[in-house]
Amino acid sequence: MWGPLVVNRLQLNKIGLQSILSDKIPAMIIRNFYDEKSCQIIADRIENYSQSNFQNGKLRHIGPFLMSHTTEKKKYFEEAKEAQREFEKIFHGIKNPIMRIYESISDKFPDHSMSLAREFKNDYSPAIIRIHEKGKSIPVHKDNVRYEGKEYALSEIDRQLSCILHLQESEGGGDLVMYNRQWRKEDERFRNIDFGYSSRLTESSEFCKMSNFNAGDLVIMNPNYYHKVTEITGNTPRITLGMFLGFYRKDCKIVAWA
Amino acid sequence: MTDIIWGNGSKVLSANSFLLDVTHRKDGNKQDYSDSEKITMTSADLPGLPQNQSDWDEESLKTCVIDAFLKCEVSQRDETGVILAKVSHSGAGGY
Repeated sequence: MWGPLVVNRLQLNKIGLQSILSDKIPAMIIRNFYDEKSCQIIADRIENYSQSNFQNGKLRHIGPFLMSHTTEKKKYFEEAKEAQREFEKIFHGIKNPIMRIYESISDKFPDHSMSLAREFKNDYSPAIIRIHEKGKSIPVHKDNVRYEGKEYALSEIDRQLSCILHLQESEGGGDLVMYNRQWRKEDERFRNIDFGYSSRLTESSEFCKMSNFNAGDLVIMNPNYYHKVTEITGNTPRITLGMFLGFYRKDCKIVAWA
Repeated sequence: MTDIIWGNGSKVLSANSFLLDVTHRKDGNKQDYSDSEKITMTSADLPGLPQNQSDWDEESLKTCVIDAFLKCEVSQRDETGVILAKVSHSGAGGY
């Protein structure tokens, strides 16, 4: 049956990660990857975070997302610099979850270097924190920097994985659904106007649904498989920290960005 | 209000024109649009396509528009039926 491998932090190993890279499994869920108390501290800090920088006064994310800046490199790198400062504040005095992810991945690939992605002395954004409130859902989509990020040097990577650390869960909804169908260019015929793809594209595909996440759980997945997040139904916002990992085979290099 | 159509590029005709297979039309468009339209780009915001129009060529346009999902903001339809439009990528991401 097509579905994720569920492990705890000590069971996270290279075999599991390589199973995702070789399309044997769609994802891994690493339970209790990051401690719950630190998740709570981060969620509290986000709640008190200044909302003045955001257009509608409603905080939706912290840090830029490269895919929203496909032709705005300068703006992306400026926002990435700002995001690094914000993350330092949010993670001050606690274990930085971004570094925790780096260390865990690097530990499993000792023959690879691991770093934040850089381009002409510009750092990419290390992560994005997303705050999803009641009623929010994310339609069927894929993430593929090799196609969407053509303006960036990063589009030269060989493989892409996605890491999502759950910092706070809602009382209901927010399930991750993955479809056993990978994006290919001709699928662009099924695009929705604003974002994502028509559900017709995946309606006959095998799928797996990942539910009951807890704060501190990490999901590592191949984001080229179509995936969606179901509607948040509880009053508590769902907060996640997301980043991508790019693998350069020949250079034995792993880079991270959001 | 500007008419807007969306769709996938299907064939490049020159360094600044291509055929669009139209999949979506904005509610409230003033004009009708067929399922296939010839588009001449007056400006573009497409990943991989140089900003300077003099640097555009058929090969780079092919890479950027064939199969890609595109938004065309129509400025006018000329006497031969070709649509002049500002062409951009449409909603690549944001979540």
